[in-house]
Amino acid sequence: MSVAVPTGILKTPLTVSEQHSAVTLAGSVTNVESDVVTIRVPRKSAWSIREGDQLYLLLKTAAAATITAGSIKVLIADANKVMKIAIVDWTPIANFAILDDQTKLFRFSGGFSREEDQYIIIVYKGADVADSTKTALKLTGIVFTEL
Amino acid sequence: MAPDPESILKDIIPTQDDWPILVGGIGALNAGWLNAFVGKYLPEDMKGKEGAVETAGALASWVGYKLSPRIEGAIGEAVKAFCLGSLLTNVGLVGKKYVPQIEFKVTQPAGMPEGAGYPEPPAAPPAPQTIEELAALEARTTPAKYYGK
Repeated sequence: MSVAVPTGILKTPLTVSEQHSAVTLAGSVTNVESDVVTIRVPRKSAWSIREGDQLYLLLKTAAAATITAGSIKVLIADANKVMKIAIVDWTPIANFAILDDQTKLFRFSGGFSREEDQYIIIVYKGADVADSTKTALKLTGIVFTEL
Repeated sequence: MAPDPESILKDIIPTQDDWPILVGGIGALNAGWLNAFVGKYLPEDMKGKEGAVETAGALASWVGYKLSPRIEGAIGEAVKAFCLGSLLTNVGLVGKKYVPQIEFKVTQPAGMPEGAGYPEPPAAPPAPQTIEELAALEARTTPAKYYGK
């Protein structure tokens, strides 16, 4: 005997912090492109990052010193990480480390969407070594969830 | 030498003897009524068949047309004209189903839409159904609201 379950789609706001379950943090290696933040879109959901949505990223060293040198690249990738596309190419890390001034927040210049199991990857390259336990992140958007 | 216009007029002006044409016209117009009347008495399985009602109407008209001379005088003439009118109509209605009909269509010349109005607007895209489609559409169309200064 089967049971009919109500189905539908939920549209809810999305704010991803470094504590979000979809986020995997990693440390960096000096002067090597390192995936410091890997966000995998959860199953049964699709994310929409719209034009004007925010990305905040603060990397710190093991000594808790804020990293201000180096560059950030934001990639989107398929579920197998075969095809990667830079949606934000190399940009000074200082551009992402502002949270208290709305006018200086980093905002995406265009929208993009990610489906379940696909990735948003933030790559850091710089002389400093980022400590993953001290990474702070904020990413906004919209999430569509299948019920 | 040009024909005498008076002689043509004389030929085409209706005379008193042309009244059966009017009655025949009425008969043609009333073919539908006659068919409905006759069709009521058709067997049930015949009613649904294409052309059956018209054929029955044509037969009834034929019988009326053939029997009308038995009625003497002007009434007989009227019945004859009436039946002939509906007979011709029914023959046409039945025949229409079996004779290929030629449809005349006006083809618009390329680049010249009918009328001077605007071209048809493009059809709206299908509404998104899946979360993936919704997310893609949201990302493409809706900017994030910006509350800062």
